[in-house]
Amino acid sequence: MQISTSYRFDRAIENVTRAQQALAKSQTQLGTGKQLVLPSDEPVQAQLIERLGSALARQESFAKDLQTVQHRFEVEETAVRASMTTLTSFKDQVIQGGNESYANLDRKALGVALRNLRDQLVDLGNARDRAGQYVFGGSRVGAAPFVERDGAIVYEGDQTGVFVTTGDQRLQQYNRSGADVFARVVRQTADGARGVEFFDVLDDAIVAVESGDRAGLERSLREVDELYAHATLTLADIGGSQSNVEVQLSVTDDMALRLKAMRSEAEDVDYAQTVSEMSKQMLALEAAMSSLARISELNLFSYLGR
Amino acid sequence: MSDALSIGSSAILAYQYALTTTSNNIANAAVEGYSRQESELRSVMPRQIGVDYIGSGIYTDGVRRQYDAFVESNLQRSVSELRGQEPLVSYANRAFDLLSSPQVGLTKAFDTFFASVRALAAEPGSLIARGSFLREADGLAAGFRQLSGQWALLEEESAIAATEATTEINALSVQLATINKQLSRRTTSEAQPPELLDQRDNLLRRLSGLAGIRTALETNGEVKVSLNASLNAEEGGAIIVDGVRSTTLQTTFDPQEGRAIVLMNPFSVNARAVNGLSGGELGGVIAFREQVLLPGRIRLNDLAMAVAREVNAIHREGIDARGLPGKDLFRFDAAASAADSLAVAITDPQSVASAGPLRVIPAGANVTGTDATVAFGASRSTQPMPLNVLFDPTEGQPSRALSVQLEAYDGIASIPGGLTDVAVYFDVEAGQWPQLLTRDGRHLLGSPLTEGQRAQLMEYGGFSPGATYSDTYLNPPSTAQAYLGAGYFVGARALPSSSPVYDLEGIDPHQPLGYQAVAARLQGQPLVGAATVDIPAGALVLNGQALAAYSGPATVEDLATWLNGQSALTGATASVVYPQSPASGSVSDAPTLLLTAADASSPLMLGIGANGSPSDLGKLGFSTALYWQGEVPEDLIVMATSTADGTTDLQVSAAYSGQEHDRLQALRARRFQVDFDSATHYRITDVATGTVLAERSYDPLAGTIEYQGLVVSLTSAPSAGDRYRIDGNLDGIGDNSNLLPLAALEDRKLQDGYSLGEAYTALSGRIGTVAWQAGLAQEALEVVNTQAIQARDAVSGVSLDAEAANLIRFQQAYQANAKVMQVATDLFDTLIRIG
Repeated sequence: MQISTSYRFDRAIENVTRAQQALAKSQTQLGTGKQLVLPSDEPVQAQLIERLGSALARQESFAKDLQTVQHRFEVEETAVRASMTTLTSFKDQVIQGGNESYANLDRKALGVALRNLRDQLVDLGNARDRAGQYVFGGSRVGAAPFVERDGAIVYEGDQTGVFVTTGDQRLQQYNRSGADVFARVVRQTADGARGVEFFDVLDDAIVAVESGDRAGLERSLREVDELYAHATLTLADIGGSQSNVEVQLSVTDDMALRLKAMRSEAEDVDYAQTVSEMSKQMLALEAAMSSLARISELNLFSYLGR
Repeated sequence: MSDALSIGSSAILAYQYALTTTSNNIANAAVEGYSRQESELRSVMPRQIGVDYIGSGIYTDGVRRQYDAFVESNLQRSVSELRGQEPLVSYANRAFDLLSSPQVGLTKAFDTFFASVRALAAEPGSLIARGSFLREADGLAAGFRQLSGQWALLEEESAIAATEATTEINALSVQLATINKQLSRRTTSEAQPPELLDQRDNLLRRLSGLAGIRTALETNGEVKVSLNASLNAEEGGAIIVDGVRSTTLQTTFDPQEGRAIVLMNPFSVNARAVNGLSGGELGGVIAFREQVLLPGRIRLNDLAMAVAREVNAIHREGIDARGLPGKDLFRFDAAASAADSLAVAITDPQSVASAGPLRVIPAGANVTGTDATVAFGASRSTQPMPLNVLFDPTEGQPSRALSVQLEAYDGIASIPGGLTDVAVYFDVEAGQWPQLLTRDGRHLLGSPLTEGQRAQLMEYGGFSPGATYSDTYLNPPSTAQAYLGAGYFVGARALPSSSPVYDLEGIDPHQPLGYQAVAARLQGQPLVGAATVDIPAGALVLNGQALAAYSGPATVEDLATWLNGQSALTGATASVVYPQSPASGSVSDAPTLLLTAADASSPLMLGIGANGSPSDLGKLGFSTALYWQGEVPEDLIVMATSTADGTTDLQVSAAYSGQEHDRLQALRARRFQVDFDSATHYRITDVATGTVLAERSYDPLAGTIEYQGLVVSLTSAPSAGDRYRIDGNLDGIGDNSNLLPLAALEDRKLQDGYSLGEAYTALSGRIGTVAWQAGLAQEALEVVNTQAIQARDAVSGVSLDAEAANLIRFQQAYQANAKVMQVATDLFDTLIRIG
């Protein structure tokens, strides 16, 4: 079959162009460090990379939310610890109130000190987080949950549990309502059992101290102990939640690390392989170019002149 | 000798031609589309001498163009197919790159949007988190708009490419027609100048690069070109060149769908669309638009609408930081494309509806620490038929009467909450009583029931499960003692009205000067039935005043006299009127009773006393109705009871205004309290009025309390004295219960089985597949094309080596024949010398 001259030249030039394109692609891959210069180079792989990136972004957002929750628990922990200390002082003062030798004036002075401690506890109950939201208000975070109404401290928050997504298919409750943290005690009265709220217990104790009511004092001591015991339980509960979050955080980190490795494998260029590929391509280009030059010399006319 | 001389000279001439042809081939070696030419050398027919034939030389039988029609049309087809893939590959790649790009693609926008939902869920009260949520929502909407804009650019560019290809096709077909005209001067293609045929084939090859063509050659080389498989115009062939005629094309785009339509003769009455066009640049662009661009645009719009629909549906369920129900988060212009106009409809971070619509709060003094949750969505009883369905306002009010066959009792209609100023009119027979109850068995209007009747009535299916009967709010003497402090009444009632006063001599006689109070008027029907009437004392109550007994003739005049005898106490006067028909204006001859209030500002209320019945009211010509003043707070049930034997007939009609309200929002506007008086029995109270709404037994195994669609679930057993308050969560801004379903939307499969993000990935995946397949096809077609070029070049191409060899061959033949001539001349000279 006859090979026409222009066909021979066209093919040779085409070969050179193709080798140049391959070389340019390898060069861009090495320059950017990515296997794909454009997603359309390898659509299936591009979609895989995209999916892995998405999954990674998700784990990272979980981690961020877990840190927010952690901060929240720290605020809760601090407030509960402080309230335990304050409750201990409160109890000490109530015990002093049992001292038979105290005069009325001394009792009044004790009452003032107890009221101060009670107010401190109210402040702790109205603790806020970094966004300025009241921590113990349930979902009613915009207003102080513990307020004085007609001389008594009442809880005006709600008890709505708030949950956050902290992992795939994982919800974590992150709030404790003031009514749960500053809990009630059950008091047995002549009419049967009755729930008495946290600050009412304290107020009753103050009244008992001021009036020197022995029966009242004894009951108050029992009840304050109960409050303290409850606070200890709450603290343990917060600790439990905190370690839950820690565990979840490390799970998230592991997951992110694995996803990063997978993405890198799909996305990043294998330098050793690409460099060796590139030297092969350079060789091919050289061969194509020199063959073009040699082919152009091969011509019957060049022999005719001699 | 003369033979040798003439043979030599014929050869010299022939080889001169051959050398010229070879030179021409060498000269045209680099010309695109040039076909190699060859001189056809033939031997001259020999002369017969005796029995032998003696050869007599050579001649040139013309110059032949080296051409194979089959190879040429193969090449055209391969060019069409290859060029047809190119736009598909390059545009589809661009489309896929856009969709997968980290900057323009939506994957990242979806990721950050849902991450912001989760971050807000972790700090629902934070203004910063609310703001960043709105920003990311805006980012998602902007992502759609940006992608849609890029899509529009692709659409515009491909439209321009199609239009340009069409213009070029038009220019080429005109040139082909011109060449056909030149070719028409000769009858065979052998007689045509080869260069003219080369020119024709060049044009055809360029044309096939623009669109797939089918050609037919006449014997003289004229060509007929069609843009589809048929060369017959009658059979739908799109003939663009036929002899000296060429047809103009125009590519237009369907304004709705953007589909490309190629029209022949666009400006004439014979304009028609080309069917079956494929291949070439134009075919490739059209294929790209049909396979990638248009479906992509539709899917992108669908996705934008799905985002708006799904997110809005969740957002509307929630409550914003001001306690108001959530509005739409996304909006789009329904007239335009959704992806193009998607935007965030909320700018105020406080309007983000993150909280749930309801809240339950256990009281601080509860003995047990039992927690509770509340949700909305319990199913609603469908018994009896709603009033606004039975009495459609479009049919006028009061509308047609409803006829009921009544036995002991029956549900007549339910009054949906939200309707206002409802009146249900009854045309009763003896022993029949209209009754009004709540779904929880609070008896509001009607007759006091016996124990047996109560038990029987409460079996009716329209009541809430576990509802108990109560007559605490039955026929209350004042609103203070009424259910929810509302105004409701059974009997006959008329309200004072007002009429405008006009100044007929003033500047504008149509403009009312003011309004004048018109005293309430209550008009009855003509009396029917017995000739005498007995009404016991206290059976009827007019404006709160029990009426004295009446016993006498059943005439309107006598009854009016009886009523007027008590008007000092009742504040109402009775008169006898002959009603005028509003239609014909004729005055009736049957008299009726008309009661008029003495005081223009107070209503007339003719009620039924403890020992009375609706039929006592009927004795005066008045029918009994149930009235509700103002808005109905919740679903109520209208029933009727009968003490008569067997089945009796009852006629009911109704009037009302307003519409059914949003049940959830109506519940949110109220506050409820659940009190356990024992571990197994509770009471639901309306906090504002203290009205006891329901009293029921509590089933600790079920653990739920249902009321008007509210479902309260308790985490453990309650004890006596426990109290739970339920409200519309007006200040629970730290609640994120509406954000959790929004966060879960990221993974939720929608109708088509894809989540939002997956639907997007599927869209870009589909386009990636088209691009990938087109790329593979392109590679294969390149090989086919190379082979077609090689095949053509083998026939028509110029090889300089071959021509060089020919050059030498013909030169040597020329020189040899010159020698032949010389030898012949020498021989001749020799002969002459002999002489």
